[in-house]
Amino acid sequence: MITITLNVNGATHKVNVRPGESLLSALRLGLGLTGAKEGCGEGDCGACTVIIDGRTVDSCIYPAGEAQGKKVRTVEGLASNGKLSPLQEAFVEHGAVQCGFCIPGMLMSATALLERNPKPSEAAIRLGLSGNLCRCTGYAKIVEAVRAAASPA
Amino acid sequence: MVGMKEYHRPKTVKEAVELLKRHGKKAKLIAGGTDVMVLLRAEKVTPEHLVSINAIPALRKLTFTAKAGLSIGPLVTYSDLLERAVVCEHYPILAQAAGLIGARQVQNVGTIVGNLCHASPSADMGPPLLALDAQVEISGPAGARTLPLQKFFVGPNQTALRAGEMVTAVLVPPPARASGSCFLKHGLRGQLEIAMVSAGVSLTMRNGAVARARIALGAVAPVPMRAEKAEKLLTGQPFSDGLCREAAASAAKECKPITDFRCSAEYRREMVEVFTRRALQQAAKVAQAG
Repeated sequence: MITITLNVNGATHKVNVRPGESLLSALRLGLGLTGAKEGCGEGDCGACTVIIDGRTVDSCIYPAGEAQGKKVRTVEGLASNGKLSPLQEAFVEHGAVQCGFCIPGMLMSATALLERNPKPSEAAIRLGLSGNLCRCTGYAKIVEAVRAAASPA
Repeated sequence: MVGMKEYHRPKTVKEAVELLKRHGKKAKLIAGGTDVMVLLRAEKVTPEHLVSINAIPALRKLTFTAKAGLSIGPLVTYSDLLERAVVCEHYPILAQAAGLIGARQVQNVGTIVGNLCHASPSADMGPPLLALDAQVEISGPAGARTLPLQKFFVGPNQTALRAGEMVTAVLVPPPARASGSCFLKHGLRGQLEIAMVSAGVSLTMRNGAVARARIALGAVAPVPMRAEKAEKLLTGQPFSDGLCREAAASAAKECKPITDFRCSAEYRREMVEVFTRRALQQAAKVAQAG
């Protein structure tokens, strides 16, 4: 076991991880943050997407040992004081959520996209979400929600 | 991950090399982890020691000088390449390839050197770096050495790295004047795809003729390969449609594709011809304009 210290959604945590353990496992089993999901387990589906130091990563293939000293953001950190983020509101508003399994990852990719590019074109939105697979095939509404969040009415 | 004992984070290349040497086959080097973590999980590798090089900041360097060219450290990610203006300006072929690997999440973490060290026959960074005559800088127990990338690939998932050795940089020569390059990847989807065929070409023109030609192919041989007969056909000749077709046909003859679940060997061979021709035409357009 190694002990890593990391900042998750603004709070500092210490967590014990096994060598080779993924960050996803450390978040879910070590810290009880079950928002990020395991889909494919090999970096294709994006259900485990979290943001590390401003960049999205697939936490299922990110070594927990490398999260030492890093700032990690998960879907649990998007709402503040019980109020959903504008992006989350847009997902609700536009019916972007079907089964919901991919949504934590979609939200993190879209959050990172909008932070870098507040007015993305539809092509930029689709590219920004290309590492997040939705098996309900609800992409149209997800893209609509991101576009709406980018340019509030 | 049964049997995994320790996660090492050495602070210097020397320490990393010592760990790799001490633990030999029981050690596995890890950088971004986008390949290694998948291998670990599938138990395709079962090391007792993971040697992470992420705590060695010097390995994150991405430098360019007009004289020495580009040096890509082993912690440089695909996103680092894509976001560096000097790469997009002088080595657009590298940005083309980096932008087609995985999606953002993988590009943010995966490394160029890791792509080469994993040595998949379909490694997307293989053909463009072969086309640019890249060299691999290696450190090991016996000191440092440099190898042409072509000699670095030995077989599927096999490199020329000896016990205890690690790559410390990939070196790309400065871009020549009047040169053009192009990387094309053929898959079923636009993103998140593993190539069925890929082609990276680089052409330099002088006095209306091709002075230097490189044609590199991915996913159609045990290693990313050069189509050297096709390169010879082009060299010294004025670029024409006919010559381009001849070279593409030669590349298709030179490759050694297999049939797998992605597509058949016959299909791959046909696509090598198509994609080599297209890549040559695009590279020639850029080279002739320069």
